[in-house]
Order: sequence, then structure tokens, then C-alpha cells
Amino acid sequence: MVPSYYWMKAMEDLERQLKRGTLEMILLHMLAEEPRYGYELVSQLDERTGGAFSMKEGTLYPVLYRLEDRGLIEAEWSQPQRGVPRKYYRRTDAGTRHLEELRAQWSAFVDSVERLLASSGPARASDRSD
Amino acid sequence: MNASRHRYLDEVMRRILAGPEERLRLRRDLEAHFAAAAERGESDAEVIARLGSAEQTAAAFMQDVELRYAGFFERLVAFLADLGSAALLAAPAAALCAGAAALYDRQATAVFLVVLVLSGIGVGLMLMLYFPLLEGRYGKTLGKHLMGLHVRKEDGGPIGYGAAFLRRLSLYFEILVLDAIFVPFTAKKQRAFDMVADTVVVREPGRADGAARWIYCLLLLAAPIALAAALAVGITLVRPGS
Repeated sequence: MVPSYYWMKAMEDLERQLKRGTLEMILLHMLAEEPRYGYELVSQLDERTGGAFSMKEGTLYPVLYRLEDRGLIEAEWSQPQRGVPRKYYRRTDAGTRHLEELRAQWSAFVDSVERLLASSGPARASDRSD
Repeated sequence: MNASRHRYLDEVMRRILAGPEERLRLRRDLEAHFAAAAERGESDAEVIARLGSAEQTAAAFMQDVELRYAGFFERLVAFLADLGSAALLAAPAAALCAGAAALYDRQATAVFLVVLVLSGIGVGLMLMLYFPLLEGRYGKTLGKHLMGLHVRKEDGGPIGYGAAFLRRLSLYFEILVLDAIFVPFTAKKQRAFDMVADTVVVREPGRADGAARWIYCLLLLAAPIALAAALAVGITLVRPGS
């Protein structure tokens, strides 16, 4: 029997890896709709996933920088008439192409995992009676 | 009330190692984040709870930063400059010590003995504490500053006094030379005691390379030697008979 502490830790690790891997894709998708600023992105992410995609918001900006430095998104500060200045991120054409690739990889990955989980598995040698 | 916001931002900035542009980018984004949240009536405490601790935010940022480890020779030059600068800092106490010793020879009074002992301890402490105090507080000594070097934890975070003392043990036990031989041969260019203390010496991001750094360092090494030589010459000239 595995102590529940290790099991919980393993699940947390898995969750973190999944989030980290999918966050770039999700952000690129959200930035297709319209330019958004950082605070707006995390609020939307929280609302639209019903809180399931909760993350430490301070980790958002490094992900945005990764995307920006690779030319997949671009940023622009805007100073509204009233209110605070905001940095709006928008997706570039390269970002759109990259998202298509990521989506294809994601679909292929999900499909293969689901196929694996749906199958009953190979028959074991001991099951064979002959 | 922006006090906790600024404390948070300062702490994040203290924990990251990046060029001025990248630092400013993160700082301005986090400031805008706080401001946008405040517009919706959120307190700084609520925002910080969702951002994660300053340590977590900085660690997430540092994951994408590639540390550039400093090589043997630039660290050697920084060390020589530090010997010079520690000697200059210890010079007043050393002069006091020498003066007290000379006077104690002629008239053995308790005052001169006390001054002699205290100033001697002062010299020793200055030489012992120079490295760990500066590295613990600023992450670098004067020599490292001149050479554009910084001591960090292996994950890129700042070191404290504990790690600064620990990595200096090889100096105290007089095996620094042996310890330094590890630098060219280890993956992260660490001394053995760097490994023990979980520290690395890295080049500051955005550092301009140039020969001027080496010259400043060697001048700093030469300064106390020149000072001592000048004093010796001066004393000889003033007291030719002694």
C-alpha cells in the first residue's frame, strides 16, 4: 500500500506537468480572440475553466515572455484616458501557425491515450490455457 | 496603501538575476497586474495570495534564465582584487597594531598591550569577514563586482550569510588552492565548497566584456603593496639611524 502522501504528491506533479505543457497552447488560443492583458488572461482562465485551471498567477508572465521572445505573440502598452496603463498581448501569424501544430500534437496525444485506456490490454501468458 | 505591493516587487527583483531590460519587463508587468486588480477592488494581500510568494514568482522566472558560469581566471583576478581591497580595509587596524607594538617595545604599558591585541584581532576579523559579509549581503565582493561576477544558489536565487560562510570554509582551513583546482573540471565550474554550499559564480547578465576590468582589479591588488612600500621607504628616510 503506497502511503497517501506519496500518491498525492505524484498527482500534484502530474497536474503541474500537464498545466505547464498545455498553458502555452491555451494562452495562444485565448489571444486569438482579441488582445488581452495579463490580469485579464488569468481571470478568464479561472472563470472559463471553473477554477480547475488554478495556478500561481506569478508563473503566467514567464510563459508570456517565452512566447514573446519566440515571436509567437507581441506586446504593446496602452495608456487609457482614465485608469491604469495596460500591456496588451496579441498573437502573431507565427503564433497562429504554432498553435495549429500544438493542437494537432495535442489531439494525437489525447487520442492515443484514450485508445490505450479503452482497450482491455493484451492477454497475459498465464491466461492462456493451451 | 502600496507598501506590501512594493515589498513584494522588491523581493521578487532581489531574487531574480537578469539584464536590466528583462528585470524592468517583469517589474512593470507585475505593477500593472496589481493596478488592474486594484481597479476591481482587490487588495494587495488578495493579489499576492493568487500570484504566489515572491520566491515562487521569482523561481518561475528563473526557470527560463540560463546561468553563465564564470571561469577560473576571471575568478582568480576577482580574488586578487579582493585580497587588495581586504588589505586596504585592514590597513588602519594594521597600522594601529604596528604602532602599538613599537611603543610597547619601549614602554610596556597595559594600554599599548590592549591596543595591540584589539587591533590585531581587528585585522584578523577584517580578513576573515570580508568575503562572507559582502557575499551574504550583496551576493558579491568588490573584486567580483569589478569583474561582473555574482554568487548565486544553483537554482539562480540569492545566497544568504549561511551559504556565504560555508563556501568560504576552504579559505579558513587554508585549502583554498586545492579547492579552486575543482573549478575548471566541474560542470558548473564550482569549487568543492561551492558544491557543499549549493552555490555557483555566474557572470552578470548584460555584462560588457573588456580588459578594463582586469586592469582595475590588478590596480586594487597593487594599491596596498604600494602603500606598504611607500610607508617603509618613508620610515627609513625619517629615521635613518634606527
